[in-house]
Amino acid sequence: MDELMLVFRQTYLEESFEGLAAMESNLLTLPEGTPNTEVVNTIFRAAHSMKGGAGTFGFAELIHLTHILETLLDEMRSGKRNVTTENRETLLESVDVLRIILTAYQNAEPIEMTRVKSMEVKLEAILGGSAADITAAAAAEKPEIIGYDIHLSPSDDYFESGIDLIKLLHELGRTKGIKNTIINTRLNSDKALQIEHCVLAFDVQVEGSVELEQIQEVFEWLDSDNCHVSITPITLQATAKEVVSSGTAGASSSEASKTAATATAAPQQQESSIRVSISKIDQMVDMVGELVIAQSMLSRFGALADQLNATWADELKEGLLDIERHTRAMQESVMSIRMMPISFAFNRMPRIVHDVSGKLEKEIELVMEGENTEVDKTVLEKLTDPLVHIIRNSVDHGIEKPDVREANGKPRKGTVRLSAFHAGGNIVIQIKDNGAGIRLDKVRQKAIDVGVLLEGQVVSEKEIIDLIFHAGFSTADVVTDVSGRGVGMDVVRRNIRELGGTIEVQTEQGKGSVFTIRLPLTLAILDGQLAKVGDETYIFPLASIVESVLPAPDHIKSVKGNYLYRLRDVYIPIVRLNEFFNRPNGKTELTAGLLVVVENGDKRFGVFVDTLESQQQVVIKSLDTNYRKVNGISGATIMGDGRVAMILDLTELSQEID
Amino acid sequence: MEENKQILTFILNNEIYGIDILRIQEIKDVEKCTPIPNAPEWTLGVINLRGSVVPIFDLRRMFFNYASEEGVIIVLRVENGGKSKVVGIVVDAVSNTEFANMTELQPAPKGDVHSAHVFVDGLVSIDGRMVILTDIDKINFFRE
Repeated sequence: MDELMLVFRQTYLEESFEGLAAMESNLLTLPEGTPNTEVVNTIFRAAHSMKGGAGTFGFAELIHLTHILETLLDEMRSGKRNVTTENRETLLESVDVLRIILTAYQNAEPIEMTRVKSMEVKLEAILGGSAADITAAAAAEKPEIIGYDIHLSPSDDYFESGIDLIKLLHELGRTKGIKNTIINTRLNSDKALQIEHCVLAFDVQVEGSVELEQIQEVFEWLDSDNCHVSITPITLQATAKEVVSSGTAGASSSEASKTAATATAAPQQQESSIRVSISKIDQMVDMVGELVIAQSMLSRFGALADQLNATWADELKEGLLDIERHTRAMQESVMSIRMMPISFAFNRMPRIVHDVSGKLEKEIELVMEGENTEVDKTVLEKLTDPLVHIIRNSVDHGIEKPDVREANGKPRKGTVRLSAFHAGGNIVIQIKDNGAGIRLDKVRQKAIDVGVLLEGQVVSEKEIIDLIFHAGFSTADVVTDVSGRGVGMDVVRRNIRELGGTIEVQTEQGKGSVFTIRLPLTLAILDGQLAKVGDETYIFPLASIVESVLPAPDHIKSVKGNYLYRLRDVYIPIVRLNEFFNRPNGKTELTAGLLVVVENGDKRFGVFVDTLESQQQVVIKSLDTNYRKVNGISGATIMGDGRVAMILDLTELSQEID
Repeated sequence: MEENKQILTFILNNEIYGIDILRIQEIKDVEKCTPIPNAPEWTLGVINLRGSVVPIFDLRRMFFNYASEEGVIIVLRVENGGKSKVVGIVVDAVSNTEFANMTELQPAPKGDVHSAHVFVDGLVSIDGRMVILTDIDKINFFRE
């Protein structure tokens, strides 16, 4: 396969996966009873596009399955078949099988044919007979085509394509089955005549009963860049006119169905977009990062400008301000390229809730909010699995069976609420259910059984909840294939930590549980607060700082060598950076420096530094790239003066306190 | 093995060492590093190398127990756990680029002080002088 073909193939696969997602989400909204034509149409088009493209790449298994699928959808579309729960489940299952097939194509692996075959049998069983019969019958019912209306509008620079249109028109006339050809030529330009430009367009009407493909074949060599082609079948019932193809006449049917989509579906404003490889964007992010550093380097000279003559100084300052503004704007827009709506992760959930609740005979409503909240693509990719896991858990362990709920005075139908929103410098994702809550006594007992806790050990409620994140921990009485194997919550927490985020659980017996995930807005840039310890600069994530205080001598308490500070009525632990990092640097007397009060998760503590300096945005550079992970440090950054400064990892600092 | 390998020679503890020239990115003066918390004392810290954060290791402190304000940083590529990293090593001075005849590579004599150096590949003689060839990947810079 040549390289170009490989690129097309990749694009096709990407589009097909998107198509599957669209099919899935539409199937889930498909109400039972008389089919909603609009929704069925959307599903049909997705399947059809997939089938069309598959022909180009010789994906025979895919063509066969989508073909049967189409037949079934077509019957629904034309109102011959009602949507039943069974139908819908089978259709959903076939989406899964299609996904298996596509994944196999993508990874060049053998296809699990047994699944494909059994799916085909299932679909055909619904169709009540062999697929071939039904399609033949359906074809017979199609209105008879008696000819085509063809419009050809060559672009201005059509001649450069070197394709002789007249020859094509002659060939059209010679196509088998075509009786008459009427060609009308019209002027296609309102501009002044230019000798190199093609200013003519052709309206052709052919009569005869030929397949659309035959007509498309004639114009195979034209593409939307050089000549716009539209072919409309003329049927006996002239009302059933449908624009079938535009752009490339011989294009895959995917092209055709898309056009049909715009023609028939409710007009929807769609933003145009292009596919760009992530590595290109990352390169750009890096470059903008450099620019930010260079800009802050320059801006330091702005302060020195006063020594110049007054006019120059003003101009220089103005210029520097401009650069700063533009750099900031550019940075924001580059970062926004990496941002994607969280709906990409959320969209998988309805299906999961649907499947799992069906299996467990539970009634569950999934409410999703804030699907348009944007998150970094990397975050999004790593977030999906943890979300799936928590949702499965909520459905499996959280929500009770309808009868149990009723007995407890709750509505039969449980609710799982998945929401995303911005709060401070974070993205917050919450999964809230109104189920049974976590049985803390059970968790405790289990912890004692597996030896994580000692009998009679006094632990806070919070610590008990934390135990669910332990590896190999599950309180489900029965291990189902949904959950209960105890692998998962530890992975969930690890994944979230890797993203620099935190996860918290609140639960109330009988009322339900809330899982709260907090993630940094972006992985590359941080709003930082600079602090000095001796001659070293450390950076605090600004969002974590609650306040900073000048320690008063009578508020400092020493307990077994550990220092506490009384902040209003609460004692908070103190971390001394020079001790923590083993640096013989900076002030030792607490009253001589500053206490930066920070909040990390639900922990509040004071970090002792000499002084605070400016606040600024910093570009996070990983220390792991050329070194390794350092405890207490989340990364490094390059300051305006070109030196490197360390960014504090407050989560790790806070762990040191316990 | 290719016969003639181009190497960069440098001085460490009054002896001549050689390193594969293809590993080397650049040579620069010693500059002030930002210390890495809780790192061994031979890890001087990190510097900003045109936007990259690069750790600097002082081979003199690491293997010969002496420190000096003088010195040169050799920035090079090392392989560590399947990953390629850029690091700087501090040596006393850089001397020359030479061709080492690899067919004449002698193993470092056993019991010799040099065999204590994990990174010694062997000895070659260039213009009558003994050069200690090094395999930089054998040094574990990243241990705690």
